[in-house]
Amino acid sequence: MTRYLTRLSLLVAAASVLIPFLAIFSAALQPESNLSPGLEWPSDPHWENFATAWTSAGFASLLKSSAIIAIGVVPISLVLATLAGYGMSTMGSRVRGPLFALLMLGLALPYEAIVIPLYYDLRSVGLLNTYWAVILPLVGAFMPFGVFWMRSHFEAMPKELTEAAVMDGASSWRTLTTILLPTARPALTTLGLLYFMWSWNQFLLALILIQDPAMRTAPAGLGKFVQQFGQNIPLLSAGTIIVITPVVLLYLFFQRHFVKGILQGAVK
Amino acid sequence: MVPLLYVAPAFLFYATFIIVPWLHSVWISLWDWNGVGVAEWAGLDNYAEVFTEPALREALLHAFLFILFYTVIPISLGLVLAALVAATPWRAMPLIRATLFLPQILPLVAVGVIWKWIYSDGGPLNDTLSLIGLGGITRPWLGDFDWALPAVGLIGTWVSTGLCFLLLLSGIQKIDLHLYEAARVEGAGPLREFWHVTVPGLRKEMAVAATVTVIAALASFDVVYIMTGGGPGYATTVPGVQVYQLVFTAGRVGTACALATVLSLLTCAVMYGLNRLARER
Amino acid sequence: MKPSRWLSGAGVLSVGLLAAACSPGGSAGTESPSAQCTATVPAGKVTLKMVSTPESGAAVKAIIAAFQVKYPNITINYQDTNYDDYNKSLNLSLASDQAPDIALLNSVGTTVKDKLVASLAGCEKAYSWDKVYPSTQLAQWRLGANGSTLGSGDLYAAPAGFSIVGVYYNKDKAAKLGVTPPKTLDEFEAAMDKAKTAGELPLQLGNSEGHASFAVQLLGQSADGADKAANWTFGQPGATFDTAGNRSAAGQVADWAKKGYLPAGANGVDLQGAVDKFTKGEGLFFIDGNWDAAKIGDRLGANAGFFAFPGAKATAIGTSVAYAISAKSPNQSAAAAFLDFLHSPQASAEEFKAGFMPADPSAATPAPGTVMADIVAAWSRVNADNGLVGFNNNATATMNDTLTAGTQELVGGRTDAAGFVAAVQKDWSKTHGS
Repeated sequence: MTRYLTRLSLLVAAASVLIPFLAIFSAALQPESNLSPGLEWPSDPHWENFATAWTSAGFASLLKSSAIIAIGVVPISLVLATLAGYGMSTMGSRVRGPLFALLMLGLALPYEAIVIPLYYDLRSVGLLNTYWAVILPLVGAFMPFGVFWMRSHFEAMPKELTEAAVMDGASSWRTLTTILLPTARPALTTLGLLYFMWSWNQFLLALILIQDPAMRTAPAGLGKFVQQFGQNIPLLSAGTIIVITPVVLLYLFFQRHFVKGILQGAVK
Repeated sequence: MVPLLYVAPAFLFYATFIIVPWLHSVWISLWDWNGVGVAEWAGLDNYAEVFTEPALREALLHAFLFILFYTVIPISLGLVLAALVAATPWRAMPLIRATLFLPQILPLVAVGVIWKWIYSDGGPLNDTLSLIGLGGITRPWLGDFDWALPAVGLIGTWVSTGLCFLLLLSGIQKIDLHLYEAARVEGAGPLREFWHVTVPGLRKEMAVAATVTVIAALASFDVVYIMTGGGPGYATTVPGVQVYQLVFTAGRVGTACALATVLSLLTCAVMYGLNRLARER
Repeated sequence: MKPSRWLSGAGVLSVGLLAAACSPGGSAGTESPSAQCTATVPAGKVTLKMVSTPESGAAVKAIIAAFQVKYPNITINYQDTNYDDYNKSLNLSLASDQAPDIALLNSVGTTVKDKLVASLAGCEKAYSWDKVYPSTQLAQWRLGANGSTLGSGDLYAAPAGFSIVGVYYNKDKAAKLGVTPPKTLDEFEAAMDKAKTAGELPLQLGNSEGHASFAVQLLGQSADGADKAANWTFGQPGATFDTAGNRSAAGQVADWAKKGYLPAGANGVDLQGAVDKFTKGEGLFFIDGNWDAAKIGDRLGANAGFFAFPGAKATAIGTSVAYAISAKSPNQSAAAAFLDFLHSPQASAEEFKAGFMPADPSAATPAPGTVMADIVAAWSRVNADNGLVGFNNNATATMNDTLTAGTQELVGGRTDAAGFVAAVQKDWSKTHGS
C-alpha cells in the first residue's frame, strides 16, 4: 500500500516538472496566428516558428555571446580554483581560517549587492559593454564554490600519495601536476559543467553590464524577446526552447555529473 | 608561504570583483547620488529610507515571505517524500531523479517565461480549471493582488523541491540502520521513527538545503522581473527589482546601495543562524 | 587573528582608501552645454550614431535613407532597444565614452539637469524652428534654468512625429447598441452603461503596465482644462495633482472597475494583450494611442473608429517623438541637420505611414472612412481647442512606476481616490518641490 502511494507521489512530482515542458513545446508548434493557445497538441505542427524566432530575436548572436562568456569563464575559473584548492589543502589552519571566512561571505552576497559598483568601476576602466565585463566578475563570484570543491577533493586523496612524492624530493608544483591532477579529472569535469551552466544562464550581470542587447547572454536576450513578442506565445515558446536546449542537452549527456556536483557541492 | 602563492590568484579575482565592489557599494550607500551628477554626503539617510518607504519595506518583507515557498514547503515535501522512498526502493528511481532535478539547471528567465504564460488570462492553468468545472475561480493570476505573490512564490517551490528531496534522500541513506532497529525494538511505529530517527539524522542535510534555498529566496530577481516586474501595485516586488529600478529609473543610486547592503547583511545573518543550528549537538 | 577581526580590519582599510579617493560621481559641471549650430551642413565625411526604440523609430530607417541621399557625406548608424531598457540605460549611455550623437528623448527626467544633452537654442534660431512648428508642439521640450521645469526656456529636443491618445470604438457594436461617438462625459458613461446592460464589455483595458493612467488623465484634464493639467506635467512651481478634476477622475476609474465597466482581470493583461482582445471583439471602447492604429485598423477594418475624449473642449494626451543631441557629440552641426530634416515632406510622409501625426500637416492624407481618418480629424479638433497635454507619466523620472502601481491599486480596489492622488503628488513634489 505505502509502496504504491510512494510511487504515485513520485510520479505526480515528476509529472509536475514535465508538464510545463510539454505545454511550451505544444505551444511552440501552434500556428503563429494563434496568439494565446491553450493546452492542445497542434494538428499541424508549425516547425517554422523556431526559424522565425531564431531570426527575429537574433538568437545566433545571443547563443554565441553566451558561449563566448561561458568559454571564457570556465578555463580561467578551473585553473584558479584548482591552484587555490590545492593551496588551501596544504596550508596551516591559522591562515586557512580567515581565508575560509572570507570565502563564506562570498557565498552569501547576492549579485544585487555588487552589480552597481561593478557597473561604475568597469566603466571607468573601459571594460563596460565588453564580454570581459561579465567574464571577470563571474570568475570572481565562482571562486568560493570552486575552491571549496577542489580543496575537499584534494583532502580526500590518500596522504601516502603526496607524502611519497615529497620524500622523493618533488616540488609542490610537481606533486600537483603529476600526482594529484590526473586523479582530479572527474572532480574537474563536474566543476567545469556547473561553471558552464551558471555562466550560460547568467541574467542580472549581463543585463546591466552589457548594454548592447546583441552581446548579452541567451537568457538576457530572452528577457528582451519577452518585451517585444510577449503576446505571441508560439514564437515566445519557440524562443524559450532555443535558449534552454543547450543546457538541457548538456544535462542529458552529463546528468550524473550535474546531480552529484550540486548535491555534494552543497553539502561540502 | 608557498600555499599562499597558490591561493593568491584566486583571491585576487575574488577580492577585485566581489569584495571590493561590495565595500564600494557600502560606501556609495552613504551618499545621495543619482549615478551621473555630483554626490552629496547623506550619512544614514538612505538606510532610513529603506525602512520607511513602503515599496522598499515591502520588498524586504516579500523576500522573507519567499523563504516559505523556496525553503519551508520544499523541505517539508522533500522530507516526507524522501522518508517514503527510502523505505521502498524502485528501479525507475534514476529516471525520476533525473527528472526532478531538471528545474535546477534551467535559466530562471526561461522558467519565468513558461510560468507567466501558464498563469495568464487564457493560459493552460485557467483552461484546465474551466475544463474540470472550476471556471468560476479562473483569473489572470499574476494580476490579482491576493494571488500574485503565492503564484510567483510557487515557482520557487517548483524549482527547489527536487533539490531538497534529493539532498535529503542522500542523507537518509547515510543514517545508521541500527538506530532504526533500536527504535523498532522499543516498539516505535513508522511515525515515531520518522520524528525521532529520520528527522534528527538529517539535521545537516536540512541545514544545507535551507542555506541554499534561503539564499535563492532572498536574492530572487530573474523570475519576478520577468513575470510581474513587482506588480500589481507593489504586491510582488522584491529587493532585486527595487535595486534595479532605483538605479536605472529613479537615479537613486545611494538608496539602491543601502537596500543592497541591508539585503546582504540579512542574508549573512540568516546563513550564520542556520550554520549554528546545524552544528548544535 | 580571528576571522571576524581580520575581516573588519580589511573592511576598514578599504573603506578608508575609498574615502580618501573621493566621493562617487564627477565634479560639478559649469555652463549648460549648447550645441554649436549653423544652418550650413559640414562638408567632410561624418558618421553619426543614433539610438531609439523600435516603436518610436519605426519610420527612422526610411528617413535616414532619404537623408543620406541628400547629404551623401553623412552616414547615420541606427540602433534600437526596447522601451523599458532604453529608458533605463539612456542617461548612462549618454554619459559614457560611447555616447550616441542623436538620441530619442521619451521624457526629460534628469537628462537635461545632468547636462547630458545639448541645448538646441542656437539650432532653433539657425533653422527657424519656432516658425516651422506651432509653439505648443515645442513647449514640452523647453526647459527652465533649473533643468526640471518644462514649458519655456531653451529647446532640448526636436520633434519627428506626434502621438495622440483618445478613444477607439468598435463601430459594429456601437451600431447594434445604438451608440454614437459621445460628446460629453455623461453620454460616454451612458453608452458604457448601455453596453454593460446588453452584456458587452464597456471599456477594454490592460493595466499590467499601468495604462489606466490614460483614463485618469483624460478625465482629469477634461474637467480641469488643458492649461492647468499641462502646468502640472511641465512641473511648474505650485502646480498640484490634488485638483477637483483629478480626484473625481480617480474616483470614477475606481467606480468603473467596481461596476464591471472594466475587464475583471485588467491588472494581469498588458497593453498589447488588451489590443488583441479589443480587435477580437471584446469591448465597445478602448483608450489607447495612435501607435496602435495600424494594428487595430488592420484587424477591425471598417469597424474601427476613433474619437477625441469627450468634454466641453476636446483634450487629448499627446507628445512628440523627439530627438536630442548628445552634449558629448563632436558632430553637432551634422546632427542638427538631421533634426531639421525631420520636418521635411519625405520624413513627414514616412512618419504618417508608421502611424504618427506628421510634423508637416499636409502629409496627413488618410484614406476616407478608415480609423486613420478619424484620428486625423480628432488631432485637428484637439489642436483647434489647444487641448494637447503631455503624458502625466513623464512628469518625473519615476512617475510612470508610481502611476503603474497606483492605478493597479485603484482598479484592484486597494486604494481610494484620495490615496492615489496623494501618492502621485508625493512623487511629483520630490522632483519639483511642494
